[in-house]
Amino acid sequence: MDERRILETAMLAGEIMSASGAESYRVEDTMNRILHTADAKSAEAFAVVTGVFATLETENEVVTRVKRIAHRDINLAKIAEVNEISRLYCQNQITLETAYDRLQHFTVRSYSKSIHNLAILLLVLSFSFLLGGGIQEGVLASINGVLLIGALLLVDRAQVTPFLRTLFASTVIAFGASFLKSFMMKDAVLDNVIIASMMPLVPGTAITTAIRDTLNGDYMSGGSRALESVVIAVSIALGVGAGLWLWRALP
Amino acid sequence: MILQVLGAFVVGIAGSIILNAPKKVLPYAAMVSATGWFAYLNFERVLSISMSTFYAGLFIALFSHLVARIVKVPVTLFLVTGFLPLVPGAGMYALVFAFIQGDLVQANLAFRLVLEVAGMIALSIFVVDSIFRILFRPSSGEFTKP
Repeated sequence: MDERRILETAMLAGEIMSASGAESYRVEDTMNRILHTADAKSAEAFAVVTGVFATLETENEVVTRVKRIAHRDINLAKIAEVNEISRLYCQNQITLETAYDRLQHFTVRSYSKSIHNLAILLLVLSFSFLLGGGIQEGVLASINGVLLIGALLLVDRAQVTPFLRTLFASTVIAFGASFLKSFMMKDAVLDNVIIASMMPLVPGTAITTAIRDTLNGDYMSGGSRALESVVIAVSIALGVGAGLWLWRALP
Repeated sequence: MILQVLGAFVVGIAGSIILNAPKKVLPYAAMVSATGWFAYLNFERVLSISMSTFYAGLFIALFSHLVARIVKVPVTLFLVTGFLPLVPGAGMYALVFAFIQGDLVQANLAFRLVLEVAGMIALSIFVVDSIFRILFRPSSGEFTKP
């Protein structure tokens, strides 16, 4: 059944994109474009943050698929790859079978864990310079970046909720920065070091996606993503507060 | 200033790697965030923080949309890393710091600034998105059946 295979291809594309953190309108748009290649009376796709739905009505039957998305992990490369496959398919450059096969088996050239950690360190260091820091702040921010990576490795092993993960990591960086400043470089600017080290925790993708979803009229996805970024921002603030307070409470 | 823009350049690369962006977009993402931050620094000399965020945001969003159409990848890849330097991290820190000191007046000011900056980021993305939607309305006859 050609129509069913088209529906399955659309569902698979939607599922991967939604789970990788794409905007809902982009997911729906991609699914609709794939669905409209079918010889159908009507086709409709619907996507929210936690699931995708699609239905296809042909001459003698109506097929509907529902897929719940339980686990989400931001991966921009996957979004770009699915986008590419659906674009090639809709422009007739690859067949349906090839598209389905590529969606099922594509391997995204992800970065290794060590490159990922190195990028976190680099982000912290470059943010310190971006915010007008000097050599001293750069050195402290780098050491603090290593602390942050260590803290993240520790929490990720414990598999806690995102809220606790950010809370713990930001407590560590605030406390660590205060500690490093008073033992290594007393005249470094503490604000710069702490702000630079909390940047890898900032929910940049959630904020951007929330804005674009909301302004598109996808209030369900926009609202839940806005809530997600507020929760993470609050946990960063709480954690930094806790770290600073801990340092002050020490004799 | 050069050091700050260089910092923003590296932020673009490192931020893209953290979000698992494809390798081919790294140089473009770095360019978007570096020029965006350069624009912000220049606006900030004459304008308030929220207004310079808005204008720099317009520039970043416009640049992201153009680059995304050239490289043919979703625009989110450039928007996220481009706006990373503008995210009100410093304001958030000032808010928490004022709270811990018990200085509620200062905390209130910092909170308003954070809201203003976040709102300006949203507004600038919205404006450019709307412009591009009007200019490049996808036509339904563009795709044919396989």
